[in-house]
Amino acid sequence: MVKHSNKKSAMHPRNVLRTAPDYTKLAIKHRDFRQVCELELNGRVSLNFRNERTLRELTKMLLLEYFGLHVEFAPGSLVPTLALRLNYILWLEDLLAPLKLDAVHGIDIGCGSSCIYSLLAAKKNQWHMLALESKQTNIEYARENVKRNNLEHLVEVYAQPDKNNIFKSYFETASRLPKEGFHFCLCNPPFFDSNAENPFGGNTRNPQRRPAPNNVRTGSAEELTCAGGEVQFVQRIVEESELHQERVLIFTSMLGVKANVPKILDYLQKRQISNVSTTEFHQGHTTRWAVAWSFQQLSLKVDAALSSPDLYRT
Amino acid sequence: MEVENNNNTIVPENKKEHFAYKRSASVEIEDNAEKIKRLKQNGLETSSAAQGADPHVTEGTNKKLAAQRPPAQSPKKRIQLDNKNVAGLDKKPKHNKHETFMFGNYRHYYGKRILDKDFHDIRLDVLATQPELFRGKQLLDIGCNSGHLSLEIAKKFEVKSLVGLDIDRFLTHEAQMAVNLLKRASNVSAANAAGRFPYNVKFVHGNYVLADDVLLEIERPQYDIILCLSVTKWIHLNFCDAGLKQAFRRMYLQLRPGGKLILEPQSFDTYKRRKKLTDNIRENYNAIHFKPEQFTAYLLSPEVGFASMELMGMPEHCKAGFKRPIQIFSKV
Repeated sequence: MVKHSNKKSAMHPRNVLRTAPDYTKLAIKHRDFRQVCELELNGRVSLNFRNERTLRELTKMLLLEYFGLHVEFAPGSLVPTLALRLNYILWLEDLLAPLKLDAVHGIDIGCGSSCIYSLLAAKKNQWHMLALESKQTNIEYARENVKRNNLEHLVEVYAQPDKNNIFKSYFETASRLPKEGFHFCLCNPPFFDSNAENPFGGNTRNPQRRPAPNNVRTGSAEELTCAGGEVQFVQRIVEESELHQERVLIFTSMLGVKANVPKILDYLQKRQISNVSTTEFHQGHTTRWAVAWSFQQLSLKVDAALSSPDLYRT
Repeated sequence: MEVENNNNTIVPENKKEHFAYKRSASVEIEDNAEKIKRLKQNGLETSSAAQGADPHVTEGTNKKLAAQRPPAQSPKKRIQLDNKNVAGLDKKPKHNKHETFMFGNYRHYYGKRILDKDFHDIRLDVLATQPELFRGKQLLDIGCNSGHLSLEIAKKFEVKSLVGLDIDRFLTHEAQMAVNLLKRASNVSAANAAGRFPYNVKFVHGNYVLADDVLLEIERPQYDIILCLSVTKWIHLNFCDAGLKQAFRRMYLQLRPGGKLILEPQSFDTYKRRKKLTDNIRENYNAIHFKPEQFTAYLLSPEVGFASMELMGMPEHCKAGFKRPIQIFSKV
């Protein structure tokens, strides 16, 4: 039998969740989180991750415990997993480190009801974030979350009037843009194709090599699917990036399916965008990928010493 | 010279001293004919192949000796005598001599021989007065030590399942090994015997007292019967009034409606000789305000919530120190 390698050790070295949290101590400390825990005979606490309420309370608790962030999620909306979000932010930190910037400005494409990327970036690194979101309930929750955490001076939630545009509406109508432009954009696109017969059906995992994720799917159809899935979504980001080459230094997006990575790389090559790099995010049984591209001369290769040793493993 | 001889072989004259040396206990009592006869009598009674009296002892002598015989006692104070654990031994078993068993986690508490078909803890007699309490039920045994009594209860009363918990990892391991041995010996595949002894018994290592009282909020009913036999003293000395009270509350919360707690608490006067075990225990001993006499009232109070208490019985035929009442607390 092929040994399952637990990729937890391949989490970013600075990821605070690299060592598993002591859930028993955390259950004693946090009342709401305690309610979704199960008490074992030996006094330790365990979690059933295949339950939406558990995942929601877990992320809420971890955000509070490790970042002091009080976050509420719209019912039925996607519950983000903290380890993955952190891995993405840490990768961005590594990309930006050589630039030695005083103030960082970033764009969060599709921030969701939690606005988690922007909140983390602002709270942890004091980055200025522009959070773009098109769904009305999510916009309201996101603004509440920013306000509740006193981060209005760092995070702006912008209501996208048109779902089909990424940057267009904002860049054409915004009264004030940062002088130095934006240093990066990040995106967690809807992975699945709403036009496909069975959007969630394609199982690209080989169960012998990689075990199923120990969780349950959360999120509305709108958050999880779009026409053409993540490939088309990211292609749109690429197209719009060409129209705004000087506005954003590093364009990035996450991809949920490994097979889509070469598709995007091919697309970038076709558009003759040459400054490109990729990375992997490992957390538990789940791996995600990300692509970065830029029209400027800076290096998109992360210093190996800073990041996970497995980063560029083929 | 009659030397105790388990084999019933005739010892040749020139070998008698040789045998005596090997069984040093026999050497000490070889001059006491009465004692020898009594030991043989015990040997006769406890060995399963006891057929007919010892040729050297008449029937009349047997009856007289039986009446004179002191109550069964041994280093393992509740199991009946066998030949080897003789009152004549003036040395305690060395394995317990130098160690601090601060949780009452004694090695060889139930004797050295595992899975002994002669094993009989006298508390079983009390428990056997109400066998319907256990049949087909899910049991938890708190502080099960090496699991001997737990296994006996599970088998004898045909329980649905039994989980034994002990704070000592070594003892838990021993108990689990005994289960594994029974499984191998049973010649039945695990699939076929899934709900049956010994496949319905498991042992867990851990501390019954929780790190914090708030965890009681998420405790759930999961057992029909909880056994807590001769454990309260150890919880009390190691985890104080607060720890013991929490344990009582946890027991109630873990019981299903209609469930029962079978409690055998030690009396306070037995705590004193243990107070020197560790500094922590001494401090805890001095801080105790919640005395065993108050246990019943506390268990029946709203803070815990048991509806009633019934005295199940008290073991007979044992040393006074082990004559502890066994109580049943019922949850509505």
